[in-house]
Amino acid sequence: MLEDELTVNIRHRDGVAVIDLIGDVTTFAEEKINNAYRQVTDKGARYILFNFRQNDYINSAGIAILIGIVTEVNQNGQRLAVSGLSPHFQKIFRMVGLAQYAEIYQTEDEAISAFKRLNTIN
Amino acid sequence: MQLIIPSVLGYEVVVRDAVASFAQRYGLPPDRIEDVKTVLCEACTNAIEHGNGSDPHRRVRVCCTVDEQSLVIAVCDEGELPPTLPGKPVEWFSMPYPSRRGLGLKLIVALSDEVSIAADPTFGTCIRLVFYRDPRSGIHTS
Repeated sequence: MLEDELTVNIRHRDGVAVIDLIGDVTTFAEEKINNAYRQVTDKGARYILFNFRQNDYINSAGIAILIGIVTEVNQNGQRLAVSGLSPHFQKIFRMVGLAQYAEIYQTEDEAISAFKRLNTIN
Repeated sequence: MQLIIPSVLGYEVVVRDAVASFAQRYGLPPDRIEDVKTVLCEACTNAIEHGNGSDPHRRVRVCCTVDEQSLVIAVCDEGELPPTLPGKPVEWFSMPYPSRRGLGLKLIVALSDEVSIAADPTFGTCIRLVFYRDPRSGIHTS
């Protein structure tokens, strides 16, 4: 009733599947985030970016969803990055160990550039 | 300041915003207010889901007090089972992947300056969260 329901938007940019996450990332977001990840994976995405926008509320349940996804990303041989996090949530992501499996960038453009460099190397 | 909410997820955000305003007026720096917001949401969510079993008729009470040294927040539920706090510093990397278990309590312990829990069969479980106004003040309380 009081949650800022998460809006998930999937885009493709320069070979990267960009998943915009707009709103609260809490237990209520699980189905939407997992569905978006499955959708891009089923279409063969190798590079995935979770682009956070206006996320004032990411709690431990939301972080747990993302931990579940980084596990699958590694098993599927994909690369994951995140962008758009506030400094506070960047700190939290590093603290809980998510940064070991997903590069953290300030902006979507920075993340896309990094993926492009990776793609050139690989 | 005291706030009382039903055990319904979403109300923790209302409490968060009120306490953030309180903390701002108290003079906590912006980065610490972000820590307060995260810790408080985790404590309220635990109280709602685990302490009160998401029974909307059970209440969660949040009480904020300040003195010269610190902001103290007590989050109390009507349940009987106190959670077990992890030690500090929190061990995040004991498994090959980040662990999803007990993540909320780990964040509470990692981001607060002091945490303690008191459980009473009549009055429920209270978690007491302390945030120093000046982080260096921790040397006076250890």
